[in-house]
Amino acid sequence: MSERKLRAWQAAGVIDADTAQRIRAWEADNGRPLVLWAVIGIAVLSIALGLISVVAANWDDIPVLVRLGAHFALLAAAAFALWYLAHDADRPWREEALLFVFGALGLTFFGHLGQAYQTTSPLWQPLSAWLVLFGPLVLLRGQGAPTALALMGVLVVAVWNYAVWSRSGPMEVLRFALPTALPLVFAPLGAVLRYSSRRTWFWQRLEELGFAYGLGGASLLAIIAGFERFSRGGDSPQMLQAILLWALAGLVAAAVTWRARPDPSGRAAATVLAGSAVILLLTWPLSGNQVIGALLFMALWALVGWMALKGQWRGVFQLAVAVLALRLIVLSFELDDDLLTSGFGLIGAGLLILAIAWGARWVARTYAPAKAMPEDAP
Amino acid sequence: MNRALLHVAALALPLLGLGASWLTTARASRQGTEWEVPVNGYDPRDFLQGHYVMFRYDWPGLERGSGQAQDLCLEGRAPRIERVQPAAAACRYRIAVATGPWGGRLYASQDSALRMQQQLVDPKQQGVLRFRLRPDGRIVPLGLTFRPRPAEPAVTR
Repeated sequence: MSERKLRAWQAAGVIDADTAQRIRAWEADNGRPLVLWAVIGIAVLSIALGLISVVAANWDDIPVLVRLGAHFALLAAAAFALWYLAHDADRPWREEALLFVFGALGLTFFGHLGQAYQTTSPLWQPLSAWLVLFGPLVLLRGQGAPTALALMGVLVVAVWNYAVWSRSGPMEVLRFALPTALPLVFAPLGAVLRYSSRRTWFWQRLEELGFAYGLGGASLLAIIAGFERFSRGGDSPQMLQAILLWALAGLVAAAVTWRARPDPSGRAAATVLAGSAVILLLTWPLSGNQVIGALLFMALWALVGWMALKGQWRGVFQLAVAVLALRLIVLSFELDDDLLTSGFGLIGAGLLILAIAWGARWVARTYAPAKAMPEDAP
Repeated sequence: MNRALLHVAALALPLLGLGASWLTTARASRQGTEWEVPVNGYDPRDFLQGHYVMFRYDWPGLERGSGQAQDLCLEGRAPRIERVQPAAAACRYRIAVATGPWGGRLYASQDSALRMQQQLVDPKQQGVLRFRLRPDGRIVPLGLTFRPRPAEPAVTR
């Protein structure tokens, strides 16, 4: 607790001298000895680094069986601790941290196996194996953002690595578009399970991640549509099929979310998902034009901003305004590329950026929904 | 299904799966025939993925770039390779194209990876890779040795 802050608050009349004194007393009793913790942390870190470097320096001299055995023993110990902690409802973070470590140990075990037995395989294979082996556990026991993010991260890397790896061959569209649509599943899944599970926090994070994947994918495609014409070229039929499949996945996700969450926030999330699907469909005929690509992108994010108002998502609204402003700035440079080649151009560009930034800041402050409980996020 | 049982099963699944993966990898690494092939190396280390030497195989009798999308067939008496050519239907020692028959990597400690890299770029030395060809067509590198390169025009890399 900063003494300076306390004094500033007291001077501004936010708190009175009595309160300030009580805060000081409480902090003195309950404050954490940060310096001591930092010293302990540095010591532990140095011991850990030393251990790692001793092991690394003698890596070749440690028999494969011992190395892998120690790794596996760590995994077993983490599994035992997780079993022992099964229903520690008071300390969900302990379980979350342990689960994360267990998953990380499992993922590195694949790499360790490859190194010990000199085998190599494309990245998606160990990642898929990890998803099959650890996915059920994470879905059953995950408590919050770290494991949700890990699950989403592994899935996204696995499906995109697979999609790139298996580019040619029979059923290439299905093998490309179906896996890459898969992370979207988390949006409706989280929407359905956040009310029926005790682990609301975890399912909400997963829903947000799925939502972000869909919105991000549509945004990316709208950006690409600004400079590439999807309906031309040898692989354009495949592109059309992939877009149709993705859009269908987005619409299904939107429909399930709409049914599962009748509250304004749920309705808004479903609308954004459906809007992303519609934008995807529009990129097919409209791609290849800078301005239209930018308009598609801005239409999507205008919808995001509007729905953020309806769903009372303060952070998302401000993000939408910022993204729109940035796209506008980029568009002005795209349309007039000699803005940077003359003195007047530079001055004009600077003024334009200032005006857009000021306008965006004014909109974001004036119209943003009030700060709400975190539960109200999409 | 009983909820407690479900949790135990979800915990046991990773351990069983990783254990089975370990067993099968260990068993597969003992199968197959051992061969030797000259190699050219590049890019010794990658700090993110651990230490290893990367190399390209110099298959005897095969032009680089020929038969790119095809399985390869080894001919000869192990460990000596007589020649390598694109695989016909019947082939005793087949290298699966999906496993990358053009180059590979050998994991090694930091010191030996550095040493091997220096030897690989030395024009007077020829690296020879001992590898095991598994029945499924995968190449498992075993070790890298060096012998004096015969006096001939330097191999372009």
